[in-house]
Amino acid sequence: MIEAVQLTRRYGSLPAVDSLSLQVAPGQLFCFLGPNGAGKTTTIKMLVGLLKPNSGHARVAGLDVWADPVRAKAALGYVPDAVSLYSELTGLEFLDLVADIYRVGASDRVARIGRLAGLFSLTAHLGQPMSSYSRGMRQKATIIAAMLHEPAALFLDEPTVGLDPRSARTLKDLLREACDRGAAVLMSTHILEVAETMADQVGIIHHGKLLFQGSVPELREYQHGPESSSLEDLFLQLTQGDQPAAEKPGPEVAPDA
Amino acid sequence: MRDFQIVLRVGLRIWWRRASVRRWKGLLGLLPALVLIGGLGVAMGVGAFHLFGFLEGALVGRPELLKALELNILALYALITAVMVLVNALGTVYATIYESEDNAFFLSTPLRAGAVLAARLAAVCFGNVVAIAPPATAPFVAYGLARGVSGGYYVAVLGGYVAYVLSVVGLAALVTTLAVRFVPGPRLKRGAMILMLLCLLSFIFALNFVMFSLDTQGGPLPLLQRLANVRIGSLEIFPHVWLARVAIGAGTAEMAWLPLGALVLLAGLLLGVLIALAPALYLGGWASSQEAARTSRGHLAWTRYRAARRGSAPVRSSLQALFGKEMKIALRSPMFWYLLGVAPVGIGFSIAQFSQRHAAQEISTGRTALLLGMVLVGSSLSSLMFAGTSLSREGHILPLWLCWPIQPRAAFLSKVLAGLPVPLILAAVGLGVVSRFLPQGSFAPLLAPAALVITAVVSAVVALDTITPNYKTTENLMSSENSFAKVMSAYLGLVGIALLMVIFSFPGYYHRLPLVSGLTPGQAVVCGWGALAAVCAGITYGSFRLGTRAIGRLLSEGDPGSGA
Repeated sequence: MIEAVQLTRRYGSLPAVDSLSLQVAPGQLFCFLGPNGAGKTTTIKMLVGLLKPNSGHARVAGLDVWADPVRAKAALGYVPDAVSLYSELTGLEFLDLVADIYRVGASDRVARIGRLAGLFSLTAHLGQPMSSYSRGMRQKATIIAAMLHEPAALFLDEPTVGLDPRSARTLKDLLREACDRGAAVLMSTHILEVAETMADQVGIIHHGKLLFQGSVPELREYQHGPESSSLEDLFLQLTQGDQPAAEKPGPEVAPDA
Repeated sequence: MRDFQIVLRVGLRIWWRRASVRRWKGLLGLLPALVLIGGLGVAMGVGAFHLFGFLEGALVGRPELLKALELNILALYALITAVMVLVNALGTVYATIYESEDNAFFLSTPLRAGAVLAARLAAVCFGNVVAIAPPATAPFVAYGLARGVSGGYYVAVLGGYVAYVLSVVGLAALVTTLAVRFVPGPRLKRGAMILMLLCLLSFIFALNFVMFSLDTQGGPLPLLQRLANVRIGSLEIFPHVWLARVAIGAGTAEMAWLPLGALVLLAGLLLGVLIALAPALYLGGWASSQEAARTSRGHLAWTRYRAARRGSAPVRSSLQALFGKEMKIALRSPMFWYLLGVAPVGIGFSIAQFSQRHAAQEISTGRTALLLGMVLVGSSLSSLMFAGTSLSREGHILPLWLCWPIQPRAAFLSKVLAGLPVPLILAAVGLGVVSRFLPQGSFAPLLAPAALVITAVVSAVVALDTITPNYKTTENLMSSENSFAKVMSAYLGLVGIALLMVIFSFPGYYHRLPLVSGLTPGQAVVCGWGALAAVCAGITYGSFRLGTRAIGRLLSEGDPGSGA
């Protein structure tokens, strides 16, 4: 379970995220959508314990991320938007370090690293220093590191950037698998096709406010769109103009937000 | 020319903007280096002035010997300049020519590759000419002052110096540009670091060899004769002799234009060849520098790992895992090995000279503290620079690091513990070597205070870094972005060692302190060692508390600088 309760973060007087509340149930894949600078990354950073909110609560697996950080962090995995790794370590040494930190047992780590590296075609590069990795390879290593301990909550910030089509497909399969295992997955993306085909729920954020949370059919209903309208059409309608939708006519809070 | 101006203008604008943003911090970071270089220049100038004055007085009626000695001395100074420029240029040439952030942009535009390279070279040349100027030109200025020469001398020497530095930079750039074409970037950087280390070590060895082998018996005249016979100034085909000849020629109103012309020609030739070859070498070389050195060890590593981890291998604690990571990163960093090579060798020679001087006499407490201080400085310099930037260097991976479920205690201790093995081993070896050289007995008992001091100082610099981290510090410790942190860590560590040595040498000065002057020498030794142990324990514990609290705050409150 991932839970944000009235999360607020201001930079000076500018609210980057304003009283945002959302829930992602176990087994659910939640796609976080919004224009550039809408507050997606700030929200994720507050949920994973990177950026302290000015007010509100962030909970993961029932644990408050800011009150009980070590236990909460043990239950989550995170793929940041900008990937930077230890260039002096090999991929295998990095994954071994992560497995030690999350206390993954010897046989489990061998099985998981072997399987995930194989799926992402990274096995042949595991012995090489990460300074030699391409952007896509670094992204794959980060995704494997986030999934190595089979976390109860998984946060991914634009995870498909830099991935080749096959690896993007592998990631989608793995995320679905994690949901089937009971993990709550929150992923931010600009690729609306991914959200439309994969997400159990979508959340649309604009100017730091969550405008909608629900399934794509619910969004269609909410926007009074025809059956044929795509997520792209609905997203563009909801986030049109420079002003937050909250200041425009219409309901501010989505049905199940 | 237009292309060159465009690239140069952008470079200057970026430099100026960065300098104005980091005004105070930049100045503070530069201050120790400026003081060091300025102090070195003054020391070399004053020393050279007295030396030339002494030679003139001592060799009245021996003009040939005087001239030979002056040529030798000036040629030696020129050679030292070449080593300094070469060591500096090997690092800066690669960083400026191949690692500038805007290379990809400029090389993809219609600007000529030669113009981009020339603009980069101009920056490197200017940096080297200015950075080395105080210690490199001081002996030549001192020679002019000692001989009371006209203003033309200084103009000729300045021209010769600039041309000489440009020649060395040109040579370093040409070698680098050729090497980059065939060797991937990471390997080349390691190679450059090893080359720099070898240059410095060779120079330290050669200088100490000359000093050790000079027989000072028989008065100054035979010694001066022997020095004149070293013939360092007679290697006419080398540019360091040309620079010395420019000075001697201009100083004695002889022809100086020939060696000066040769220097200018050499600099122009090297830089001209480099720019002419730029389309063929630079573009391909830059692409090669971006390539990573990949090996075919991937599958093998995985197979070995799987075999090693099969069964019930125990899970390491966070502390063990983080400690292992810190050690691996340090031991794989060329900069670590560079410092590890230079500092102990430099200090080793000082200890050897100290041993030679005090072989026959009893060593006082003060001298023992000096000896221990030298061993500690030599053994811990590299670790201090690493330990003092250990949290800052996590800046690039902070989003992941802060999400890991690690205890502040494990994070802090891993960084302190990783800073200990190398200096402890080196200190033990250093004390063993001293015991071997000096007949006064074993210095092995000094290992205990050495361990205490190293632990305290390393803990303190780690704590300081955790309290005031700079997450802009890059992972590569060689980068100029890190100079402030590096210099400050080393500086604070060295000041700490010096202060602790003052406590350690308490038995040497206690009788001057009215409050404790009644102690017996034995009691004073116990007091000195006890005070050192107590202060070191206090520093270590205080650093642990402060550092753990700072990391705890970071882990529980996030990074305040982390925006959306």
